[in-house]
Amino acid sequence: MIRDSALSVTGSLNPAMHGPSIYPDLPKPVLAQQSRPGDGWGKSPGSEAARRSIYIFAKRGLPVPEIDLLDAPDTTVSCERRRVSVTGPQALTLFNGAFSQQQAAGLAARIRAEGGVALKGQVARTFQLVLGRDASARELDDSLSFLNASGGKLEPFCLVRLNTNEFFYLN
Amino acid sequence: MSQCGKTRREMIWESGAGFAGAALTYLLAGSGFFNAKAAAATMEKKPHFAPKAKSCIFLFMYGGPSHMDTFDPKPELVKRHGQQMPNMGTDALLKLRSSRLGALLGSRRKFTRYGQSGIEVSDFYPHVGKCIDDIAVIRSMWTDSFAHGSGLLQMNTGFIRQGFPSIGSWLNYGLGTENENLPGYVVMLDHRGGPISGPPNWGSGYMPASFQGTQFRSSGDPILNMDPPAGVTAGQQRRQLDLLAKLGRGPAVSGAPENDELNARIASFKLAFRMQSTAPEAVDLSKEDEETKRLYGLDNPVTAPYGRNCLIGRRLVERGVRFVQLYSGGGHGDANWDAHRDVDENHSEHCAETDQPIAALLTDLKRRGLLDQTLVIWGGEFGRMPMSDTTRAGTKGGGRDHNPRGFSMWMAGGGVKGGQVVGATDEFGHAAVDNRIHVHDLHATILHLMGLDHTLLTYFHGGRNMRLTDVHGHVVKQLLA
Repeated sequence: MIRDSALSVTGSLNPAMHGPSIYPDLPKPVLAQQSRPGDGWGKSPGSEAARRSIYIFAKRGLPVPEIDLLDAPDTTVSCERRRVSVTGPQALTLFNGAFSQQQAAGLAARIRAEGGVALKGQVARTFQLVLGRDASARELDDSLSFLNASGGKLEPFCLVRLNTNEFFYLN
Repeated sequence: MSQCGKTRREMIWESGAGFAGAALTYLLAGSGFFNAKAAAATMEKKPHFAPKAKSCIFLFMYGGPSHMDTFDPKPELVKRHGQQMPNMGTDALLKLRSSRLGALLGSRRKFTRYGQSGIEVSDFYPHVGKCIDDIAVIRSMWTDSFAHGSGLLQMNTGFIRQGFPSIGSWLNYGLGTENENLPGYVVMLDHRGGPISGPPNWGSGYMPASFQGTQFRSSGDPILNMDPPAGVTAGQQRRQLDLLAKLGRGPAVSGAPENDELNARIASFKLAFRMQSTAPEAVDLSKEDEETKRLYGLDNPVTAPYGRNCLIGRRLVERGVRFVQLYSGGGHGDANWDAHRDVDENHSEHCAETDQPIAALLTDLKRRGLLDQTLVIWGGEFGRMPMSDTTRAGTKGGGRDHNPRGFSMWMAGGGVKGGQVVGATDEFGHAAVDNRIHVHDLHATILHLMGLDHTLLTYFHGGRNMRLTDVHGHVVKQLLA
């Protein structure tokens, strides 16, 4: 869900349905957990890999970090109710992980294209895209101070936006 | 409403404590301070009775070490070398594997009596032999599966299928962790690869992902994604996290149900930020003195990899990590202990890699006064057969097939009565016959030493109260000091 939402917000989600399973890129240390590292894990070209998470190839012994850390159920046992947990390693993956970094860059590119040149407009567009609402005065303020302190780079701001609770949790 | 009469959002908003407040609230909720629904569902967190051990280090010899060549001498097997094993045709398992089961293969190892207890250990493990007075050798283990994948899963989770929480998950669920800044369950793999059934062996099954094992690497950054990406400074990250906290407050949403998870999530980022410095510190061996590094064999390329992991294991339990698992052997075939082709060649490699480091771990824990509160376990998913396996390419008949019916493990520290042998196999080392101890019994005993009753430690899933030991297992009193 989170993976799909992030892809959707950055404009990279490929909505094509059906067809063969996809293999998102897995970092080497994750593949190193296999007894034959890399065995059985294919390679999907860019747009294929951006399809919905439901199409991710389910290899029972090789969980994909983005979904495994977020309580994806084991595929061999029936799951009557998804657990919800909050962990440090989740935060590390969602902040530092390659997937999040890519999505932040993708979102930043989209904001620059759609939000105009001024920082204020860009912040406003980010809120609209990610949260579906306008920023409050205080939020605008906080975001602008952050951007000014970070030299106007959008990517770190986008990363934060993709990690806020409002994006993550349904109310 | 929480017990202090405010919603969590209100409390943080009004206190102005921001991020620090969120972290404090999370920690307090973890201690049951607030009536936190999200935390309560998964809370156990207290031992049932006074524990002997606070931490457990499981030294996992993946592939199945041969017990008759290490800790279970079989003179009768040596005498009858080359003869046929009796009852081959009537035994279902032996019939199934008959193509891999040739004539009886006597061990060529030399066994020596060590310590005051005089327990025999083979020449594969001389350093560990010297520690034998602290070790309880179990010669009567048995398990249900002869296949690596399911055998591994059973040794780790109690079930031969995947999808169940592992020992470390149960311990963290039952006891919590002592150090909020490190994962409570750490796994370190062999540099040659992971074990056959992979991450489900340290998974949390149907329990929340917070109880999963976290894989640490002994070189480079210990946890995946621990380091900020290139070009991002700590200051930049700090600013990002502060913004996250500010934006995380959001506009007030009237009628929204109180949600502890939101605030817990803010806190998890703060903990993750801290983990970025505590995790590297835990695996930083530069602060250890030269004598210690030599003790673990860090100066020898053969013993250095496992030695490093054992030393890190000691540092982790010092820092309050509840369960540490260190795999010896990885991948397939002779890259692990799976000695189908030749036991002498396979085990001389793997024993040489592990003997000195394991003895160093026991010695080091003992001299730091940690052995009494640290349970150390050695063993693999099963043992090996008394007959020679003739199916492997390049074999000269010195290999052995898998044996789930009888094998050896040992336990030390953490309330275990050392310097004794528990149980026995038959004269060939084929099956456990005396005081048979199943994996479920081992698990019940581990939980007991850590202060938990295996019949009372339950987790509701799929309509029933699940246990690590399912509906089996009994504590082996003989192992307790």
